[in-house]
Amino acid sequence: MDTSAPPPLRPPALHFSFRFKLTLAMLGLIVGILGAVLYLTQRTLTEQYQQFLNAQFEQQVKIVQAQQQARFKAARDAIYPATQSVRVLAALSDEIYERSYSDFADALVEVMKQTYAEEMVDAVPSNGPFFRFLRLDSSVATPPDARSGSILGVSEKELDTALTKLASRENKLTVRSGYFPIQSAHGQLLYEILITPISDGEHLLSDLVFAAPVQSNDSVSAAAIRSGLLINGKLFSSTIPDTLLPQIQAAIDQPSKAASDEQVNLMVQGENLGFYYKKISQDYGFPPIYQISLISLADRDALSSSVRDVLLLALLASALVALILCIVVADRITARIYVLVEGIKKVATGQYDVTLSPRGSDEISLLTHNFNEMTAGLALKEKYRSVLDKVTDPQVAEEILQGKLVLGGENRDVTIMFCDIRGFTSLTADMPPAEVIEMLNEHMTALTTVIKTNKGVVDKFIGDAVMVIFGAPKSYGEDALNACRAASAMMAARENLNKSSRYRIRIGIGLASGEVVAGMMGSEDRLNYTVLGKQVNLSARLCSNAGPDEVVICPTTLARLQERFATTSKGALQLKGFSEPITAHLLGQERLPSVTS
Amino acid sequence: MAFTHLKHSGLLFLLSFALLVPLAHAGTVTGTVDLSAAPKPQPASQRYAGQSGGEKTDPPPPAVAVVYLSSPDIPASAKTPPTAPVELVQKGLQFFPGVLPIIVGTKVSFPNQDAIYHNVFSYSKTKSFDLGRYAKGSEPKVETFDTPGAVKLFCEVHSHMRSTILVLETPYFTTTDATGKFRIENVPSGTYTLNAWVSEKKLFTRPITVTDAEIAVGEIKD
Repeated sequence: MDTSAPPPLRPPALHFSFRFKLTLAMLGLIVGILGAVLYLTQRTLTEQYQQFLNAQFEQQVKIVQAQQQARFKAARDAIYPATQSVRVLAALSDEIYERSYSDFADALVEVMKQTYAEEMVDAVPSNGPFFRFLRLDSSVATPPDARSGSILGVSEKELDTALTKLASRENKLTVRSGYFPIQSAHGQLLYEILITPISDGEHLLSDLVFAAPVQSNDSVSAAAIRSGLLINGKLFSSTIPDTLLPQIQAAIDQPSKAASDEQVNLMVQGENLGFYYKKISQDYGFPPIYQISLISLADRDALSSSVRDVLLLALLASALVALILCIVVADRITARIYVLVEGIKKVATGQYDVTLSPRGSDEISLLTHNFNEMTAGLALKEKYRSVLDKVTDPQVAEEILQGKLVLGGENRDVTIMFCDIRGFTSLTADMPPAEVIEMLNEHMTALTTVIKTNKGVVDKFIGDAVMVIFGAPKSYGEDALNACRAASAMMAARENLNKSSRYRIRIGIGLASGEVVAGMMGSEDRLNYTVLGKQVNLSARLCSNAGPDEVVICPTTLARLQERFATTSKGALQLKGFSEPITAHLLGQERLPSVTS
Repeated sequence: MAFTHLKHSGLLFLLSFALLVPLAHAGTVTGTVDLSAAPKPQPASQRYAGQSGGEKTDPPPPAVAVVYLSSPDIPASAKTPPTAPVELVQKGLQFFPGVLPIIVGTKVSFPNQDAIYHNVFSYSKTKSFDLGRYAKGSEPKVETFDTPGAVKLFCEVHSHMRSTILVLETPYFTTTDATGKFRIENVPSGTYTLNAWVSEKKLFTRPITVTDAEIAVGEIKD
């Protein structure tokens, strides 16, 4: 019977310590948050810069528009009095256009002192401003002289064809203005044109077309902004080369862009440029025009990468600091856990006397406190167990603990042994009770050791006698043989003890084998594992019959011995409770198996 | 007694007959012209009101039409222009009349009745002239209009002043009143074309036969 404690629980093997995982988690969290924040910072910065560029473009558009409006207003203010001249009106009324041109030129000279008029007065430069009268049938009235200006490389007929497009729809009396391209022999030219209707009260007499060439780049622009105007598929710019026109045109024509002002990036000769355009609405008769800007993104990209570098550095430094902090913090958190772990390791090896000090008042303190209670509980259980083992046979205790023994019994084939002290009564008549108990304890201790060794189960102690069962609750094979060996060993042990002990005691043993009822008997709350049956009685009677140092066995036991022990017959004994006499034998030496030679 | 009475009345009868003979075949044409297409008369702008001389401005002459009967058969004797010049005045910063029909060859003088300068001119192909600036009291310039057609008059100083001289090839003309009613008398019988000139863009024409009686043509409109 294995009576050792259950195998200790081994803790699982630790591959990554808790401290390591905690450190890693904290570090990961910190670095993650930092990284996200820094990334967002960088993105915000870049976006802000982008907004700044967008604003620059918007600003530029506004300035160009404002300047153009100012120019037109100045022109309108200059022309208006001249268009009110009675002579001009009279000439147009009678369709005498030669007179209208000269009268208008005269009126213009008199009224205006602005640049345009001066240019027109002294021999008009060929690519300066010009004016023309449109007839009601949209054709251009031919001017009589050069005072009304002209364009170098454009014949009057060509100018006529170009300007006809500007004729008013339904002869409306509204002032119109806008950008207008005119094809010349030297390429397309861009003009700003103001159309003033001249009426006689209610009816339109003629449209006065007043045109001035667009000065390129009079807009205020930062060095990094290149701007121009795109009209009728032709680019007018002093800073944007015509080679970019296809890309620009393609970007504007993309049908996917819905908004009228968009920003697209163009890569030009390795330089990253932000391409902005805005459609400028024009009055009736004028073709659509786009204001174009190319803004260098070099600064933005430089800023972006330098910011990124700084932030990366910051991230690395922070990560380092975070690492140290996390290790320290993790260490402090896990230290108390490790104390617990050590305690549990001790408990696992069977040491239940571990007590830890729960400092603080958090969950780990609670855990420590509960750990202490647990070990105390375990220690108590261990105590109970050992007590149980002392009070009951360890085998029976085991079977009880495992829940295998319930109220009730079974038929079992066992060998029962009774052993008592010869002449106990007379021996202990004058002994004080304390001494009697001391003597019995010494005696029983010696005997139960031997009994245990020989796989016997002590049933009970009855005063000076001990009742032993061999083969219940479980059998160990040759129960009868074990019982006989036990008997011999008990004799020898007692003899040995007699030499050293105060007390000289002689015992008698009775053995009987056969079927009994074995099991838990008693009540639910109070049980006893014992056996009942004829053999029990027989064993007790045989023990009574046994003289000092005698082991008396029944016939069944003898039969089971199968000559392995020397025996002497004791004859047929008439025992109380048995109708027939029982042939008993005295147990002798065990016959050791001889070596056959 | 009866015999003397008869002799006197007979003479009278003969005399009166002699007088009446030349007027025997002349008619009258009356009617009304729709003036809705006439150009609106332009009043002087307020800024003139305070000018030098404190000239009071007059409202412009009302819009009227000129009705004339044309025919290729009109004898030359009937088309003799008057000897005295017809006046087209500048008064209260307006031309009066707004439309002046004359027969070819008529002289027109342009007296300035305002205290300030006017400069009457015309660029019309019919007759182009420029009278320059002259003040009240100076000898009014006279122009002879030898070509038939419309002559638009402007004043260089005052842009609102407008008038049109219609040089006609018939003596049988009149100007309607402000409502468009007209009456042309002593028109020899015959067939004519009745023209109603409302503006340079609006000329009603219809054939008409004039008899001794009075002919009411009714309303002339589109």
